[in-house]
Amino acid sequence: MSSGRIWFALALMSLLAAGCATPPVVDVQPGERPPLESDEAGFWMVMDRVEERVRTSGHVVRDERLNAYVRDIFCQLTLDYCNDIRLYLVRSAYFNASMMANGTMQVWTGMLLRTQNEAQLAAVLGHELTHYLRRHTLQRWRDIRAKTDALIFFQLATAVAGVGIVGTFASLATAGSIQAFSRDMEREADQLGFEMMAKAGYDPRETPKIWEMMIAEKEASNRPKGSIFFASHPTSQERRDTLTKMAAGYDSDTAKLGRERFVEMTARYRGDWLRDELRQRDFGSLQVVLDYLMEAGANPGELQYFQGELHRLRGEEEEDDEAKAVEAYEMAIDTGGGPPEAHRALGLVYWSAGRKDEARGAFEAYIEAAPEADDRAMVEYYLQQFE
Amino acid sequence: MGRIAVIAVLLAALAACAQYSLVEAKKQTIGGAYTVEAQIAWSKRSEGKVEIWTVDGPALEAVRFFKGLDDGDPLFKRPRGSGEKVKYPIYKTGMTPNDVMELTVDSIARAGAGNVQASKLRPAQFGSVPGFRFELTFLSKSGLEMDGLAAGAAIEDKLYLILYTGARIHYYPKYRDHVEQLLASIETI
Amino acid sequence: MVSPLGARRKTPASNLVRGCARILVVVGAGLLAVACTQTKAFLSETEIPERSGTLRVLLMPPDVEVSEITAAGLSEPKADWTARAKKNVETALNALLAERDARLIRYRSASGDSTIDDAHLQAFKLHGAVGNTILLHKYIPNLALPTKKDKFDWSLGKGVTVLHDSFGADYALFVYFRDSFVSSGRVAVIVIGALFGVGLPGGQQIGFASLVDLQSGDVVWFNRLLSAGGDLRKPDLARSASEDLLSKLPL
Repeated sequence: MSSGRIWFALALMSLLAAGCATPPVVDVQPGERPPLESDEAGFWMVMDRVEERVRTSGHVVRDERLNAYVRDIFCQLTLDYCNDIRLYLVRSAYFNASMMANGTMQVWTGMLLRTQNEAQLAAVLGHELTHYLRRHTLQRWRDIRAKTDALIFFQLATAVAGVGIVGTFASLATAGSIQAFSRDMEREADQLGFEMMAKAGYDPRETPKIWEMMIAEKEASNRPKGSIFFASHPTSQERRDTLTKMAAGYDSDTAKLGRERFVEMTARYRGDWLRDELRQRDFGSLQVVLDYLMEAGANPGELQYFQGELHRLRGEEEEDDEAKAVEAYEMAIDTGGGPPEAHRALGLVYWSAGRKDEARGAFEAYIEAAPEADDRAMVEYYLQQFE
Repeated sequence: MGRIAVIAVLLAALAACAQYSLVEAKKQTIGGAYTVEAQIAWSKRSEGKVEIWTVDGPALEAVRFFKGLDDGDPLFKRPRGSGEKVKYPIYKTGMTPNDVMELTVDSIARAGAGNVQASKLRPAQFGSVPGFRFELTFLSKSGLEMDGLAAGAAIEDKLYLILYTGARIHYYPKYRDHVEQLLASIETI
Repeated sequence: MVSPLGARRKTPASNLVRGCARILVVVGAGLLAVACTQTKAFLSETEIPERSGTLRVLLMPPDVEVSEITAAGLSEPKADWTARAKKNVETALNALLAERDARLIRYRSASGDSTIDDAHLQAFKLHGAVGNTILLHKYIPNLALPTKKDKFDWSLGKGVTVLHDSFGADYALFVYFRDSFVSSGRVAVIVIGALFGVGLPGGQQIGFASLVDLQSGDVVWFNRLLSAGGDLRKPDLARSASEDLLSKLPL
C-alpha cells in the first residue's frame, strides 16, 4: 500500500468531510412552509407525494363522523396547528400512529381500538404533533446523513489503513447511535404530549395506562420483539414509568377522561377493528386486547362473540379451544348485543366437533336471526347434509 | 409507478430462466385432479401448489389455481423477513365453504389489499364434486378497485380453489365470460 | 501491514502522478459523462387516425424528482432543483408537441394543484398498474408474457372516458423522470474508490412516458430512458432529455 496514496486520500477526505454548519433547529411556526432551497423542503416535497398515495390508498377510513371526532380532540390540544395537520385514520390492526415532516398524521384503527378514552387518545395525538413541531424527521435525517457520511469516511480510512473488521463495529455503533437519537426524540414527544393533553383539561394519570396494556400485549404477542439496542422507541416499561412519575401527585376533580363519548363514537366500528386483529392470527395479543375491553365493560355480547372467534380460529387441542369456543358463543348469544353470526359460528364449531344435532339447532337459529343473510343458501345446504 | 421503475431497471440485469410459459387454447389438466377447456391462450406461471394464468399481467387480471392445499398450507407465500412465529391464515382439513371464504378474505387482506368483502357464498358443482362459489371486491395496495370470483371444492381432503381477480375497469369484465366457461368445463378426474 | 489490495509496493513520485492521471480518467468518465442515453420504445398496432386540425394532448401531472447523492450513497430529495426541473420539462414538452402540431393541455384538479380529482383517480391508478405491468413484462426478458409476444396491446378501456369528457383531449401523456447528482462528499468517495480500483456510479437519469388514446383507451406508445448524464435543471439539457423521452412518439 503506497503511503502516497494514503496521504492523498486522507487529505481529500479531511477537506471534504468538514461539512458546512447547519443552522440550529427551531420549532415549526403555524402556517410555515420551509424555503424551497432548504433540505427540509426536499422532504416536504417527497412527503407531499407520499401523502397523496396515503389519501387515495384503499386503507383510509372515509367516515366523516369518526374523522371529525378525532380531529376535534386534536384541535383541542392545539388551536394554532389545527389547520396545518392533515389527520388520516388508517384501517389497520395493531397499535400505531405516525407523523410525517409535512404535517401528515396517520392514526391506525388498531390504536383507536386500544385507547380507552379521549384522554389516552389525546396523549397519542399530542405525542405525534411534537414530532412535527420539533422537526424530528429533519433532525433525524441530518443526524443520519452526518453519521453515515462520517461512517463511510471512517470505513474508507480503515480500508486504506488495511483494517477491515473495525468497519463492522463502526456500522453497529452508527446504527446504535442513530437509534439513540430517535429514542431521545420519542422521550421529548411523550413529555410534550403529556403537557398538551393536561393543558387541554384531560387527566394526565391516564397517560401511563396505555403502556401498561402494551407491555402485556408485547409479552403475549407472536411478533418479533427486536433488540433494545436497535429499538427506535424507549421500552414500554420506561415510557410507563416516566409518565407515571410525571403524573404523580396530580389530583383533580375536573380533569376529564371523555370515556362515554369515546365509547359512543367508536362502538359501531369496534367489530370491524376486532375482525382486523383476528386476521393477524396473533392470539396472544388479541387476548390481551379483549381482556382490557371486557374489563371496560362496553357491549360484552360482542366481545364474547370475538372471544369465541379467537378460540375457533386458534383451534388448538392443548388450549381446549373447541369447548371454549362453544362456551363463548353461547355466552354471547345469552348476553345479547352481539352479531347474528354467533349462531352460525356456533353451528360450525358444533359440526366440526361432530355434534350434528346441536349444529342443526345453531344453523336454524342463524337463519331465523338473519333471514336476509348473504350466505343463507350455503347454510341451508349444510342443513340438508344433516338429513 | 416510481418504485417499480427502479426495481425494473435493476431486475433487467438479472439473468434467470423465463418465468412464464404458454397455455394453449385446449384442454388443460390442473394438479392431476381435474381438467378445464381453455378457450383462449393464457400465459402461465407456477409457484409450488399455485398456478397463475394471465393474459395482460397479474396486476391487471389473473386466474389462480390452488392445487390440492393440505392441512397447514397458506394460500399465499409468507413474505420474506416475517418473524418465524407470525401466523398466517391456513387451510385446515375438513374446512367448510364458510371457512374457505374466510381463509380467502383474510389471506387477501394480509397480502395488503384494503376493504376486502366477500359475498354470495353458495353451493355449486365443481365438476362432479359438490363445491361452492363466492364473489369478492377489494382495493389493491395502491387503491385500485378490484373484483373477483372464486370456485372450489375439497377433493380427498385437499382444497382445490380457483380464484379469478382483476381490475374493475376493463380487465375483470374482459375475461369474465372466459373464466365462467373454464369453470363450466371442469371435469374431475 | 497488509492492504486489502495485496502486497505493498514502493511508489516513487512518478508512479503517483501516473496513478492520479488514471484516477482522473476513471472519475471523469463517471462524472463528466457525455450523455450516454439509451431509450427503448414500444408502439401498439393501433393506427393513429387521420387528424383534422391540431391534436389536443392532456399532460398528466409529471412525476419528476431531482435528488442529491450523499457521500454514503443516500439519496436526498431537493425541492428547488425539482421545481426547476419540472418547469423545464413542461416547457420542453410544450415546444416538442407544438412542433408536431399538437397542443398541450395541463391537467388541473379542482383544487388547482397537482393532485388528481376523485373522479379521475381510478383511471389514473389503472394507468399506474398498466405502466408497472409494461415495465415488468416488456423490459425484463425473464418476465415476458407469451400472450404478449410481438404484441403491445394494453388498454385502459372505457376508464379513460372521464378524462376525455373532462378535458376534451385526444390523447393523455404520462411522464416520469428521476434525476440525481453527486454531492461533493460523494465525489470524494468516488475518487477515493477509484484510487483503489473500485468504480462507483455517479448520478443517473431515468425516464418513462406513455401516450394513451382517450377515445379507445389504448396505450399507443411507451418509452423508457436511461442516462448516465443529463441535467433537468438546465433548460437546454431538459429539452434534449425530453426529446429523447419522446423518441418514436407516433404524433
